[in-house]
Amino acid sequence: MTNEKHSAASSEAHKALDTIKQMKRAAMRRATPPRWFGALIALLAGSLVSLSAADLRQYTVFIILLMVFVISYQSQKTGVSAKTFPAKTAVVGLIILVPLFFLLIIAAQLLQESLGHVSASLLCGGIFSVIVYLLSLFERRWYDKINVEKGQ
Amino acid sequence: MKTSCFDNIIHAPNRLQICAFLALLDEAEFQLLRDELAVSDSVLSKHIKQLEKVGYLKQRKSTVNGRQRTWVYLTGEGRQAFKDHVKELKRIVG
Repeated sequence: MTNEKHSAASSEAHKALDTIKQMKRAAMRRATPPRWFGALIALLAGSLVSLSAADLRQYTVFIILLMVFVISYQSQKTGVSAKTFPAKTAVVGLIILVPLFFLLIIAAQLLQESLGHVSASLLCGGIFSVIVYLLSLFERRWYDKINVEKGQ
Repeated sequence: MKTSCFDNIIHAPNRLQICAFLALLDEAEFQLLRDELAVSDSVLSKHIKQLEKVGYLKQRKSTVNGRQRTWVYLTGEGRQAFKDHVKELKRIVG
């Protein structure tokens, strides 16, 4: 009788764990941002560097507003906001990205003499875009990894 | 040391699904949650209220294009209770 009870409890617990896995996978599927999102954010981030380097800082506010709009649109569209990206990784990413942002602006201003005003700004903006896009790909891989783990 | 414990509030099938869905998210929209669970508005509301009553879940209202949307999220207490519940289920399974 005790064995039967234990077996029933174990089977119920097993079912509950399966349900949890399914729901976590569903949440991750919803939270994974589409590729265009990462590419667009990367492009906007790159243009922030380019505009700042080209002494067109007055236009950066439009880019920032556009970024806020895109992020909020994506969150409204999917109906979820993700939590999984680990706080530690996000902090490390920011610690690298923020100084890099300013370094690239300085680099663009230093390169202006040899490359020209527009080319230097575009080059540094492009570099920043590529880095942000690579980070977004890393984030996607992270979500996929979680998806696989939760599905096991 | 904190021991894991079986939580009857969380264990009900729909509430377990709600907690599992929200566990990896900051928050989720009510309608989306309803679609994922394939339940009616009233059923989901009932479960949300029960989780809210014990302090496991909270609701947030926002207006977009004049339309009110409800977002739900697990509280710190709710996350911990869910974690403990999963731990206990794993212990039972062995």
